[in-house]
Amino acid sequence: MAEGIAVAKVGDIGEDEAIVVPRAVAGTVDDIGVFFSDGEYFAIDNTCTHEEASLAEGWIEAGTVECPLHASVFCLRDGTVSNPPAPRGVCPHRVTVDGDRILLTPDPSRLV
Amino acid sequence: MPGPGAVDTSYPASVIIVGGGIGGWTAATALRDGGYAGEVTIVEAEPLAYDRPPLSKGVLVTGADLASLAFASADEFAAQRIALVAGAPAVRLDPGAVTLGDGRELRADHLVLAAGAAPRRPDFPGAEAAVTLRAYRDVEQIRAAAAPGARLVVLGGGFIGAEAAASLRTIGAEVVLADRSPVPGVRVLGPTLAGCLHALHAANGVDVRVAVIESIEHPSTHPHPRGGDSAAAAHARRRDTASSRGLAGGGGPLVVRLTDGTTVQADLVLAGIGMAGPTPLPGAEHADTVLAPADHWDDARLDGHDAAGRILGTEPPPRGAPWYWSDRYGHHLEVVGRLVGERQGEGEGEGEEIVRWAEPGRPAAVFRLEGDQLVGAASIDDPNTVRAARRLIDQGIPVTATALRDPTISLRDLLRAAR
Repeated sequence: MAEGIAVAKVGDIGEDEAIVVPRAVAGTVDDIGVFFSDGEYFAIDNTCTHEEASLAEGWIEAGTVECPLHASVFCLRDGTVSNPPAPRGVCPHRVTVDGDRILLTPDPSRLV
Repeated sequence: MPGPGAVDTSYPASVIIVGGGIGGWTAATALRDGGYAGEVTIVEAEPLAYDRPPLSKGVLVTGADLASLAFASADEFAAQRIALVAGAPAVRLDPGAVTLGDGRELRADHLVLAAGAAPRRPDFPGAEAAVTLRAYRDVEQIRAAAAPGARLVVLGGGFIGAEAAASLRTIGAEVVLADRSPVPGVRVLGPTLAGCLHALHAANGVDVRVAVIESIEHPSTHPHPRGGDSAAAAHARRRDTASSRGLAGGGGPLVVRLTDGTTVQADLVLAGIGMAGPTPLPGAEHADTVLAPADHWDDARLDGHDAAGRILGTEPPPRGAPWYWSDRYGHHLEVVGRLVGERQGEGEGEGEEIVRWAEPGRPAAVFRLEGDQLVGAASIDDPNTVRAARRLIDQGIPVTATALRDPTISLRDLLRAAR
């Protein structure tokens, strides 16, 4: 069935950068950040679990993102958080590359 | 050093951590992350173990409930096997024992003291009417007095005072901010940043005074405001007829005399004048590990990590330049390292302040450069510049004033170029 949502083309997201896929596009309860780090694409829920902050605006490095507000560090691969103040991790989503298209498959648990 | 196989037996069988702030919470979770299998208990005087920085920021603005600040839910505590004994303060330590205010005694092999600092209280006549901002209940009291149109005096323009003044203005209170310095924070943040931050208060309608409080009097002891401040007197009369807000004493507005010769009628006086030292606790010397009060949240977090590491027999990792943040009037400030000379009062010394202007009069970032080494950086609404600066500082990567000053040069690119 669905092959995922085409959210960008390869090269659109620079190294250690990210884009935001609005929830209305993803059909999810939160916006989704799509990240490129260490030569790999990742996707996680974009809102920090601590305060209203866009993780895509954070400091991206070595497969992690630091929240732009208070520096909680989230693993881009599995969404786990490794230090407070964020009380819990965020949901990871599936990203695949098909030719030059970057495809996002939201986790079913986060669909509206 | 215990050899392989002997490590487990050298651990204490149980740990009690007195204090459920960021230091105590981090010590508890870091024990678990480090593989510690014994009992871990946090003792917290307030109803929850929770994160304090939002108290003077978002919570003062929104009145968010205490539960929203909790480090973890009850289920998450249980999953980590961290016991929380909350709502009763520790009142005494003895070797291996903590006595609580309700008379209970808890015992453990290892006591960690992480109760933080007590706020410094002012000592002018009538100062007992002033509140400090340290606990959630303090915020409840301040918010109860801070309806739109109410007037509050904030004493102290440092981090707590500045954040509280901004939060109170945001919810529509009239705020008088009094500090003896015309530029509070200049000795920490340097002249440009401190000046721009302090100017935000006046720009947002705060009545900024270069003064401190001389006295606070209740209307019953001072029925006729001095100083010819007729608007304030009229304000006071209006307030008298509707003063069911319930201040300390419940007698209507306070009469606050400032050292600039003026008198202010205030619904509440908040003193944000620093810390008085560790929260007093008889028997504190019986703690096996002490987390001294830290200047900033991230220092306390790292202290908690290091304390857990030492209990588990590991040496703490080297620590980078200290990092902290502040939020006010919708702006997010971040700071890393040191923004002024190492020896106070010697002026610029061998270093220089470099300003990266977002536009004339509004800095995006401020740096302190000593030789070719960055030693400190601050940014307003540009956190990734400080995140990059933190790495440039910790890795000792040389930079130039020209690059720092140029808003078109990303610090991230400087970091990448050095790798």
